[in-house]
Amino acid sequence: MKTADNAMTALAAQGGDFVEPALLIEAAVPLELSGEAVRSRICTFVDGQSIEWALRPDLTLPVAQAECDLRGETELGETCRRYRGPVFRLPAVEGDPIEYEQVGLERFGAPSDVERDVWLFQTLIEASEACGVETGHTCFGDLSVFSAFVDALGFPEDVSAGLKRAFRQEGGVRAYLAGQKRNQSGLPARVSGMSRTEIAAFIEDIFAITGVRPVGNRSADEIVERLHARSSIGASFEISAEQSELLERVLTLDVAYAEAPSVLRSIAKDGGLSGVESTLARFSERTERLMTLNSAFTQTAQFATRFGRRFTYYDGFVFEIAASADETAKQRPFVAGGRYDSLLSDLSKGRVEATALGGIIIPHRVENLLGGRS
Amino acid sequence: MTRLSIAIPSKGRLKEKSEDWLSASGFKLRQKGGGRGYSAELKGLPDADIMLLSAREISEELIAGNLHIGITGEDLLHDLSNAFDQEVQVMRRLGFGGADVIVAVPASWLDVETMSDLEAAGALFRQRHGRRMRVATKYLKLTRQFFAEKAVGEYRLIESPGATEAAPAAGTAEVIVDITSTGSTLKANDLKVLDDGVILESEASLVGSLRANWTPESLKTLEVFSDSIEATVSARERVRIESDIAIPESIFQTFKLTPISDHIALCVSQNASSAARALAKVGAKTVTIATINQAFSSDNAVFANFVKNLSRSA
Repeated sequence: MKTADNAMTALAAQGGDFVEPALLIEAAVPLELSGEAVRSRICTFVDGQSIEWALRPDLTLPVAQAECDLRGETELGETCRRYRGPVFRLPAVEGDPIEYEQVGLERFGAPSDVERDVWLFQTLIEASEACGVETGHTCFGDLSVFSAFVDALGFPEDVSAGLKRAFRQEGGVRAYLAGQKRNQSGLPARVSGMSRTEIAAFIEDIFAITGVRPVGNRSADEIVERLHARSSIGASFEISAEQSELLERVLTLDVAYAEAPSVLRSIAKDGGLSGVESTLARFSERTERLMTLNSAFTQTAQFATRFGRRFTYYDGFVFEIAASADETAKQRPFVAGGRYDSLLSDLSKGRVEATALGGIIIPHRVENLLGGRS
Repeated sequence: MTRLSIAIPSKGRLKEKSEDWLSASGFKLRQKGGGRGYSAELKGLPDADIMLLSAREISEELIAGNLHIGITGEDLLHDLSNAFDQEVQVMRRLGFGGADVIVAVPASWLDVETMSDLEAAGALFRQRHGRRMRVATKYLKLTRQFFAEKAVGEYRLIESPGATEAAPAAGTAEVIVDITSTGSTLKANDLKVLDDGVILESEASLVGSLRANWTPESLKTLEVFSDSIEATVSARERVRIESDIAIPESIFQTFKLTPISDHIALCVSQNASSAARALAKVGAKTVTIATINQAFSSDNAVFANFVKNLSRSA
């Protein structure tokens, strides 16, 4: 309890409001947001009306939902919410508790910049220090990096979008690159060069001849839209071996944090890419400022492009702090945080637009750490 | 559990085929309380307790270790098991109940032929409808694993205990994962299987539980049972050749015959007439070829392998 109190006091120094969001959320919220991949971790049950509920797997979701509701009604500028309470997750590591406490904060509507990213990290390491933990191993990620390189390669829209989605799946990019050859045959090749209207007429003909009719919720127009997107890639389009290799280098990058900006810049230079500058400038500035904190939390810090890609609603800066670089230690971080600027928009189906970033400290892991050290 | 517990499907074609298959090895099923009782006995295996259960229950109980062996479908076994190799062992595929667990979409989805097409279609679907594409199935775990393997994340699962193939037309789901043997139900519902959408080729199988409490007595009964089953299986591909002269060594070798005596051997069915002609050439006046019901052998690799896995997982 003492640890959580100390963490709360440290976070309260940042101002903002203490909130107590709902314990229960509709299971559809995390499942629609993140897909079936999260199902193995969330505690769900079905009520008498067949609605599936979940015990909150984190506090970010219910806090962000409440924020959406508020912002849907009133104009709000910048807000900061802090919280403390139990979360429920089916353990990824055997023996871990299903229910445990998180202490954290969320900041909404603030400018999306390096200043706030650094503020978040600093706030959380201060909270950690207030709890008595003064050192740790930090993993950093930035989920905008891979997307920026994909965009800079100038692929057709359908390919870029496919690669960005593939990035979020284990082995996805490799599967996508391997599958692109096969995609050039068949119907999309046949309708290559046709306009959307022409494709629609062509599809109608096929339906008429074969007797196949569209069934269910997906309309013929959606089929046409997708065929058009695929055929407009062009029959001759191919991701070259050099481009594949460049993507692979970005994807598998795993280096000391301080070196990450220069390595990414040299990958861009080798590939003759333009268009990644603004992303890399922001990345470099953030890295530099975090490293000049000269903190005991960043001494061994590591950057990996893939780090955090499974935290589905995160879309920029992301980090976790664990006791050491040891693999088992890394599975139990005691601090985690990052940016999710599109979360409110996704949760409200576009009704609310506000930037978001936040982070948590996990008191029982901090206590285990302190116990282990003494 | 000193007695061997065996579960057999309680109804339908799977039950009939299982009964036929058992009786070919000399084990005749007799249900207590006429055809409606759920306990039974196997004539020829007095030290076993026989239960009639649904194929799903049999899979569940084998995984939980509440049964020693049972006949069930591999589809259910794979879907329900958390650690297949440590929980169960397929001892023998039975050659019936064959069906594939597949991913199917409406035949009108001309843009979707592969799992990666499905992923892209799912992403557009989410943009348009503000929700993820639904996949209806009773195979929740298999589906999740397969979609993850294929790097497809744009979907949500809807549990569907029956008539899954009707879900797309009814609008409760866009995609299904279901079992199909001939594909005719899919066609009738305007659905097609994706090119790389076969998740599992399943068959009815005799399955042993590695989690069950095995005693020397129950293992002994299993050995008796398995010996007879394997004898039947091994007899299926072979015939018995008998000659009025001693079979020369060269013919044993050429035709890979299994000797029984100087004059008698077992031979793979399709080689039998060639072997008979070869025997006639070297002086045999009469050679008979006869089908056999069972061929017992002193080594039963299936049983030995099961015992080995049992001791490994213990």
